[in-house]
Amino acid sequence: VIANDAPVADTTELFRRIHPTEVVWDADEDRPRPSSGVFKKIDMSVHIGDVLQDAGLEPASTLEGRPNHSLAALTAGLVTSEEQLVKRSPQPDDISHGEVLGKKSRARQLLFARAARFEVLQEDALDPQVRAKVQEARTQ
Amino acid sequence: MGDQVIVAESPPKTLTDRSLQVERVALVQAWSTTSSTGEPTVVKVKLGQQPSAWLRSALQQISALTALAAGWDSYDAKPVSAEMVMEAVEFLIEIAYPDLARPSIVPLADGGLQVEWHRNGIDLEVTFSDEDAGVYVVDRNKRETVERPLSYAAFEVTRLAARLRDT
Repeated sequence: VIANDAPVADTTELFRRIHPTEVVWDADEDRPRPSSGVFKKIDMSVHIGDVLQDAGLEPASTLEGRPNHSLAALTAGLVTSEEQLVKRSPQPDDISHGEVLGKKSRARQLLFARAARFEVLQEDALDPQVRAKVQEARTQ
Repeated sequence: MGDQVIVAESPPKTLTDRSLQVERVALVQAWSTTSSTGEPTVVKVKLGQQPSAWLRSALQQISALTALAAGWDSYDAKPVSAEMVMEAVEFLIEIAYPDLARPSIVPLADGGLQVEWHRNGIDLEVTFSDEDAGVYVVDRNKRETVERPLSYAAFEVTRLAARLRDT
């Protein structure tokens, strides 16, 4: 069991559930990604990958009961390099719960949005235009 | 992210005339900020001419977003506020140039909305929010970053319209 005050390694992934309406199409990157608006909160909830791994849980387990949400991942190293603190704050129904604490400037929000990768992308729930772009990109 | 931040005191006059005349005939019906279920916000927009296809689509999208209940993001998001909806709709009407690509319209956890374009080396994000309103532009071709009050949003879109086209 990972202690609540254990440091979070830079390579640890931090997962964040993404509502389908928060997924945008980035034509320059030719891929869907979370909107920068996802990363605004000074105390942004995440699910810490090492706790999930330690418990034998897949990251996708954090989507249980939320079939339309996607799951995005950032590394702890990226957020801490941007003056953020990763705090473990387990909850009764989510032992992997944590928070990314710190002021998130516009530049930082966009940086996180562009750096995020989708661990799970629920294509069927996306805005039809985003979904069409995803499918178009796949066939190219 | 960029190398240069442009600051100005007030937005310049709009760069171009509007090709679309739009009359807003009714406003917000009601909103309860204490509602846990997220009562729908009603915004009626009367379009004076045939609107651009993307404007109609964008308004429909905003309409759908107003139905999101508290906690829609699976964390602690607020419902989209009527005030932010009105601000976003007024902005979209102002910049409803038919050639523009349809922007993404994203709800924010604080009850706001964000309108965004990401194309041709431009990230342009207009944020309607009680906490963090404004317009943010990254021009990667020019290595330039612009962060301005919301009053500049239409100006920035117009200034960059040629690169925000649906090509």
